[in-house]
This record gives sequence, C-alpha cells and structure tokens, in this order.
Amino acid sequence: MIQVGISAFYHDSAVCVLKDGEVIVAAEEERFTGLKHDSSWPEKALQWCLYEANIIDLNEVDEVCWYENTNTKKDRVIRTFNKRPFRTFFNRLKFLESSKEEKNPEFILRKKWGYNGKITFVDHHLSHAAFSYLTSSYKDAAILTVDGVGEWETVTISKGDGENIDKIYSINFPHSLGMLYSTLTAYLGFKPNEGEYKVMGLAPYGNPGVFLNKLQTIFKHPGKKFEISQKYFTWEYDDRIMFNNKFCRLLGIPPRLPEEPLLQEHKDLAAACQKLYELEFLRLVKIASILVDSKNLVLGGGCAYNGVANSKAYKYFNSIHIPFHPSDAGSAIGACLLKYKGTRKDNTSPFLGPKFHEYEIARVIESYNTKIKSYNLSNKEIIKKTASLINSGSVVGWFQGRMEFGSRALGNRSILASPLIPDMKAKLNEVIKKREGFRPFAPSCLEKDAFKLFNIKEPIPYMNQVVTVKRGVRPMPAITHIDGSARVQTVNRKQNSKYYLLLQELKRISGIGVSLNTSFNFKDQTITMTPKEAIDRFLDCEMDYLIIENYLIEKV
Amino acid sequence: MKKLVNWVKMCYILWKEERKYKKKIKELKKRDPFNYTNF
Repeated sequence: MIQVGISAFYHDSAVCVLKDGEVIVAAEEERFTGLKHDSSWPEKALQWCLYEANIIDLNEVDEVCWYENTNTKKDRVIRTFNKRPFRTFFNRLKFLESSKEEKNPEFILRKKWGYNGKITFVDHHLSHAAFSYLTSSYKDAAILTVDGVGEWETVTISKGDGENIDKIYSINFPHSLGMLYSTLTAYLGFKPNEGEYKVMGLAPYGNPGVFLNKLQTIFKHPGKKFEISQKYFTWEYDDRIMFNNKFCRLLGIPPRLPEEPLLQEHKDLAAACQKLYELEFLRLVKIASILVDSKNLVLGGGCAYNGVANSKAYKYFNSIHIPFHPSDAGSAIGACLLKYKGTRKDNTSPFLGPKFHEYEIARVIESYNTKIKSYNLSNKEIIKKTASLINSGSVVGWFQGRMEFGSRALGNRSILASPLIPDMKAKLNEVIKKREGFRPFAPSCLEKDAFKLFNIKEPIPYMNQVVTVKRGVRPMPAITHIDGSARVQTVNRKQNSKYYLLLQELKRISGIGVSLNTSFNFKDQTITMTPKEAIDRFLDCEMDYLIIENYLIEKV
Repeated sequence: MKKLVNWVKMCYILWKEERKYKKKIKELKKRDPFNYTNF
C-alpha cells in the first residue's frame, strides 16, 4: 500500500511517502523554496518525494492523507468570524475565496494533479497524536498534544493502546497555550510561529517574577481546563497582530520592534512567558497522568519543541517520547500512519530527505575549483581528520547522507565545533551563524556517555529536551547555557553510524565524546539541502572547513 | 484642587502611554514578518 501524506496552508508545508506503513521519504517545502516555514502548496516537495519513491504518476498512490479536516477548520473560522461580522468582513471574503481553489487540497489534487484515488482528511490533533504515538516504542501511553490551533482543538489528551488512539480530553480555540506563546514572541519583536525558540533561549537571562503575576491574571481554570481571557488578544479577527492595547497596558511595557535593543524588561517578559508555559504545561501533564493509566508519555504538536518544559514532564511519567518533527509537518506522516492498518513499522529515523550521489557532489565541487581546494579521503581518514580539526578549534560544516526531516540538524546537515572552547559560542553566533548573541548551542553526545555528563533520564535522540549539565564534569562552555542547561542530542551507532564514529574519535583524542552541533544555516535561512548551497554558505562565512560526504573542502 | 491636578496629571500620563502603545501596534501591523493568521 502506497500512501502520500501532505500538510500545508498553515505553516511548515511537507510531504511524505509511505510504503506499507514505512516512511520512505519526507521533505518540507521550505528546503526547496528557501522560505522559512513555507506554508504554500508543497509542489516541489511532492515532486521530489514521488521521484525519490519511484512513483511516476500520483495515481499509483492508493491514498493521499491530508493532515487536518478542512471542513471542520472552515466551520471554526466562519463561526469565529460570525462573532464580529463587520470587523471580519474583508478577512471573510479573503478566506472564502482562497478556500475555494487556491487553498483547497481536494481541488489541487483532483484538478491540477489529476488524482482520482482516495483522499482522506484526518483531524489535526489526531494526526499529531498518531505521529507521536505510532513512532514510539510504547504499547500503552498517554498522548498529550499542544499547539496553536488545529480545527477547533488546541490541546488534546488521548490514550494510546496498541493501534488505537482514544481522545479523552480537549481544550478548544480560542483558549490556546501555543497562541499565547506566539503572542508573547511577537510582543518581544520576534516572528510568531518561528521565533518561539528565541524566547526560550532568552528566558534564562530574565526574572520571571516581574511579569508572571500579570500574565497569570489572564488565565482561568474551570475544572480541569483552562480559559484565556480574550479581551487582550485579537486572534479571532485580526491577521496582522495578535494583541491589543489592553495587553500593553496589562504588561506596562510597549511591544518591542525587531530592530530595537533587547532590554532587561524584555528578558524578564521572556522568562515569565516560559515560566507560565511550563506551569500550564505541567498542569496538563498532571491531568494526563490522572486520566490515563500509563507511565509513558508521548508529546506532539508544535509546543513539543519547548525542550525546557518537556524535560519537566518526568515529574509525572517514567518515560517520554517526542518524535523528530512534532509540529504540523510531522502530521503528514501521522495522518498516513493512522490510516495504515498493518503492523507498526520502525519509523524512528529522521533522515528522510534528499541525498546526493558522489558524482553529483564531485561535479559541484569541480565547478568551484577556483575558490576551494578539495581532498577525497577514505571513510576512516575523513572521520579522523574531522575530529582532529574540531579538537584544534576549527568550525566544520558537516554534510552527509540524507537530510533530516524536522527543525533540528541531527548530524547530517550540521555545523560542528568543540564544546570546550570558551569563546566558540560568540564566534559561531556573531561570525558564522550571524544571529543574536544570547542564543545557545546544543551538544551531540555519545549515548553511552550522556548519562555521565548530563542529568538525563533516558536517551534523547532528537534534541528535544533541555537538561542540566552535571556538576563536576569537564566544563563545556560553548554548549552550556547561562543557567547551566543544554539541549542535548544522544547518538548511538544504529541511529547515525558515521556521526557516532566521529564522536567516538573525538572522545579518543579529546577525552570527551561531545561536539557542538548547530544546524547548517545562517540567521533566518532554511537548513542547507544541496552540496551547492553548502559550498555557497561555506564561502559566505568564516567557517574553516567543509566536509561533504568524504570530501574535505577548504577555501583557497 | 490638588487632587484634581493629580488626577489630570495621571490622565495625561496614561494618555501618553496609550498613544505610545497604539503607535507601536500600528507600526507592527505594517511589518510584513508579523503577518500572522490562524485562518
């Protein structure tokens, strides 16, 4: 059975192809268009996925699964508009017009792609839950999904039992934890739906107490649910801004424009936002532990990228699984997995994107022969050489195999450096990644050593929990945030053998099997996909070396 | 009389603050990166 999963028209458009319940390929549209969080119809990603899966015509596909229910979503939008018919008049026209053809997946698939097969629409949060639960190794689990908004739901708790997912709790729009976090992201001068991780990185520099009480006044807790007072927000009628004057008055500071400096009050607000999220998130985790009789927790939805909050869920559960792409793009896979009725396959690998053959790489390298020097080494030599370069303080671009599906570079499209060098963080932020200086870097660590270096409860293969660095271990200033935390990725041989061997070699020469690992991109860019992009970016910054498969590349 | 002056002063401060917020919100609405939509 061949299935194609698609998500689009909100943020993070993506496509995946599954054969008999196994994900063969998956890619996000943004990597092809270069537009971060591209939400348009994933034309290029779909073309590439079909080509890579040897599908000539879309009609060879048995089922196309759409990650949300478009009719229910339309119902929510219209009902919300009906509350303010005059104020939303133009937005209503715009929405109704776009939902006829331009943003209608059925129309595009039938008319533009000529697809005659089955199209299935799966509820948004059910897609999240399915992706998270069906890619875990648990037989039973509590599934908590939290995001901005799906059709109506913004939070769900389900019970995962074998192949079944039973929803037992939900909170509906406009009461949304994800949207509140995005609103505060916008308030702090970052782009909503994108800059949330910047708020998370900024939070440890501030004092949450300054704004926490004010923010808590907007919450009510009737029964086991929460309600957010809508008098401060414009989520229901405005598509240009998420808050109003009253919210400014409540906080007592004006919103920050992106170009304005970050002051202590902004750091305090970021800290309060993170603290508030953690409190509400932990409340939901506690409810999940009461409603579902299981010691395993599965997290899904865009909010599952909040690694600081995620790691606190161990208070109520023994084991936690967060998939490699818990936001909407991953739901494309979730929708397919839910509809597949065979036995559950191992879908734990995030390396599902484009891969380039040696002849393609050699051709690209040759076209740059006036600007770079390259050496084709053996597997063993490239690992030894890269490890020694990292250990000597060089910053190395690491481009290997299939691209990761998801926001994290997990060792195939990464920039690597030594975690032991104190000024490495500043160098990477200012000179190489060209981004805000407060932002931390994450470490990749050999799985077997991670328990000795970090306070972790179980392996974290997808870098989605923030934990503290253990006291008394060798200082790793480049990857330790101001509060002593790190968003660690544990690596084992099965997961990524070449990267594992590199970390092993690093351990042999430096005594510590840890590397700083940051995604191969600059500020506000998508992660590098092709060898050409990798070389262009390498030439455009002060990166010392670039490794593409077994080619060691240096500037002339 | 003193109370009235204080009240007027407070109203002026609040009005000034409000104007500042409104100006910022207007500016943010113009910015393309802040084109945010949930529909």
